[in-house]
Amino acid sequence: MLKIDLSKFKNEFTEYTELRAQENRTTNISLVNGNVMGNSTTAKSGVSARVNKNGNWGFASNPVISDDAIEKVILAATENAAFLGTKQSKGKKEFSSRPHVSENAFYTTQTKTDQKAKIGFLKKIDDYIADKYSDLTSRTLIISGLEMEKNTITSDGSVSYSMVPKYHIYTILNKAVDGENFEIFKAFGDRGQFEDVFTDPALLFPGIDEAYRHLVNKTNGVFANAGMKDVVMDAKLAGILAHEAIGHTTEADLVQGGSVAGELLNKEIASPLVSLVDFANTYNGETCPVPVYIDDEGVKAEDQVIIDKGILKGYMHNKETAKHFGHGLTGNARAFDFSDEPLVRMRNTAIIPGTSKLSEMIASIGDGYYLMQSSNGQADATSEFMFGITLGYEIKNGKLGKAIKDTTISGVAVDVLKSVTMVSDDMDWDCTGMCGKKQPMPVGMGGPAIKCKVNIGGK
Amino acid sequence: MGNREILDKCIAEFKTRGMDKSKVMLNDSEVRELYFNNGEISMFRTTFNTSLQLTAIKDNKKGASSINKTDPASIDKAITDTVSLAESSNPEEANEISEFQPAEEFESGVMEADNDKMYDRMKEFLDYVRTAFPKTQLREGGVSYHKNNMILKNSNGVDFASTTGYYQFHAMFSSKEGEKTSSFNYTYKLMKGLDEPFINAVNLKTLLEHSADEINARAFDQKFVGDIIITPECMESMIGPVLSHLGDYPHITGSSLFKGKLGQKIASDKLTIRSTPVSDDFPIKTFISGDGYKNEDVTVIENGVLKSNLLTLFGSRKTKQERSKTDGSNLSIDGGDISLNDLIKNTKKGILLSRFSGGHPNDNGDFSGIAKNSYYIEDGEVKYPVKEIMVTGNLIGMINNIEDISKEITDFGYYKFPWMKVSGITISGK
Repeated sequence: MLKIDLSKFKNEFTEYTELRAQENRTTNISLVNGNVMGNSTTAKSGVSARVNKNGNWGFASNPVISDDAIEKVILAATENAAFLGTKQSKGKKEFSSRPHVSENAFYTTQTKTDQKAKIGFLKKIDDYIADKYSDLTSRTLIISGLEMEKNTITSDGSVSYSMVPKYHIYTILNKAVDGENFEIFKAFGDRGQFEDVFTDPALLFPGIDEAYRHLVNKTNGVFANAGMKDVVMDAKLAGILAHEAIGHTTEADLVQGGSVAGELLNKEIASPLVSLVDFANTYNGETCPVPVYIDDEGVKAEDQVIIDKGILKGYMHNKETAKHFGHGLTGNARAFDFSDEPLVRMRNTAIIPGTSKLSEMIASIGDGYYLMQSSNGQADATSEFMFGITLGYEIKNGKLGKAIKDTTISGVAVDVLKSVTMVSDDMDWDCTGMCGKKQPMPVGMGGPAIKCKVNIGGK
Repeated sequence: MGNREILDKCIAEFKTRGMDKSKVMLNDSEVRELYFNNGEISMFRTTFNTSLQLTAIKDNKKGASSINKTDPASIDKAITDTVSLAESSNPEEANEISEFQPAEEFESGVMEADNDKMYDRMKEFLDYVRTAFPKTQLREGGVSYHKNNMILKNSNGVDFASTTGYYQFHAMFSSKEGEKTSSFNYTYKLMKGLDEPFINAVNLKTLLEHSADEINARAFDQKFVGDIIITPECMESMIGPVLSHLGDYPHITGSSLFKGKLGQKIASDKLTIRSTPVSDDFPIKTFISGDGYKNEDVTVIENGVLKSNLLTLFGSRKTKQERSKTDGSNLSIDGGDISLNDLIKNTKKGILLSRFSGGHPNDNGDFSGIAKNSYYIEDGEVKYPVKEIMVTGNLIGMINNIEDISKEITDFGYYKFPWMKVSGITISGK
């Protein structure tokens, strides 16, 4: 645990200053065909300061956390801002502020599981797969854990301490048929330390069985017919749609940099069935996958409505972009490592559920696809997004047909969201992956199933 | 205590605690970065870090941990954790450390950052773009200086040290006119020094010209099988997935597209790929591999024949194949004997593929993705920038259907890539 009282260093602040002491801890265990291939932990901690002097930012960090090192880091960041000041003057910047004091640490209250027990947990899952599915060519199981612990104080009065962990087990099953290789990926996990997320290996077996069934279907899969198609995106995909299609395009630093969203505020950009919110920490009374109570600029984090019934209502901000646009603060400034500066990042971005049933949505399509699982994705200033599809099925005359081979879907966010005609009444949250934007960052994504039109790759 | 003494003490401590073998690596790094945001220099950043990586093996069971501290208490805890990890693991015969090699020290690159020159070059670039490309917005980027001091030792007596320093420039940009925006694009370059203006780096001027042009990118409703000309900027995203099949994981799981193909023809005879980590042709050298060997320059694919996999010590022992003598860094593709102009002139119908935004290829090498910052080619002429175009193909098909490779090569400092024309790609519009 890295809980530090940084308040005594506030006397060292001579300009607008953020001071952060942070530790990121990771756990990685990988089992390939029952053999331990990776068994490692990392701990990376240090202190950083960011100073704004006459409009110029200075940043400095050091891995040593001591009174002397912290004082030197504050001084170095101040000198770095001053160095830029000798070259250019931008005038003093007065930022809006929403200071807050909070403490939110998601430490488990269970007895800690040591690495040997974690390997044993993974081995039980592997034994289950090896016994039941002997036709697999390979099986890979990975435990991946990340714990981010932060202490922050700012010159405008915020004090925060947080520890947000996430643990996942990734399962990759491979099967070869007639010399062709097929793969299915299944992730289990959530916010929390290992002990809170994984209690019994047997609870994962139904998910493994389902993944194997899809893998067998993929071995008889067909290429998608390339082009613009009607699709139902499963709830598991709506989150990545929210993240890639609209989320990145409405990060205010990208808007300032020229993204199309700059011209669309208060305009209709989606079907009235679509509402999209970047939740700070709580949805429907439940804690979100990646809760942010105070961001790394010391701003009390609040939910930001991006789309309300099809109308673009706002952007996600740091202090500088909020000042630029004359908007209120949202609390979206987040840094990954102690040595990283805060950037505008999403927190828990979700499409709000509607009223349709998934079965009705599939039944409503004559010729299209049901897309169930995605891999990587990418956004663009134009709002043209893409993401990889690793599991999907044909829909023929309202019924599911053959599985499709891995492919990619794309679209222009506004066109795709305007084409939404049905939104399901369920909701799926996920924090499996990491968002990449100069720094990696854990984010939450959520949503219901969506019926829309997208461009699908294939033959 | 000096860094070498710290590592010697770690190795001795692992022995005392009953470990059979150990490897320890200490890296001190320094980064100085001038960052620009929306066309203005906004931040100067100096960061220092330390990475101590510990690996121990007992009865073929391995544990590894990494911390960024070197005080005695932190090191003692990390050693305890590593021993515990090794003892909790399962035996694996492929776990091993590199054998004894004579001690060596290496140095490459620039050893001291010039903050003032970094600023001057950055400002010169931003001013130039503001004037020459008024529709183009430099979204973010910067110039940074990176210095690394690394020592790697193991219980077999391996003792390597290297000091490297280099500058890196990167820029991300898009263009805007009225309500219309172009797709973002970006480029990077690693450099030994700051002698050249950044605008002369790689194909930056062309990319910026194209960015403004791409404001008016057009969609089309055609679907055809045609050619793609992969630009140097796009090459890593197309060739990278091919080379990933030469690594440990696909060989261990048996899913590699090139399993058992060493010494055999796997690609067009026009394709030669090299990994030259210690070549003077690159500004930064990677002298030592992560598993504790002195790197060597290697031809990976020569005239279409697979000459080397990219297996680590672990991967080679696990799959009973030869260990690669390179860690895969400093990649280059040999140029051909045709000019880029002629490459385009000889293209009947296709896409100049400047950026590929796609899903990971599946195990059989099938890929699909959007052609970003790309142009439609017809009857030997680059016609117009395109948008919402999907390209679909197969990695094996791609490297076997290479029609030609340009003689012009772009030097990114960590890659040297030409333009490459490939046939048989499905290209589909909306």
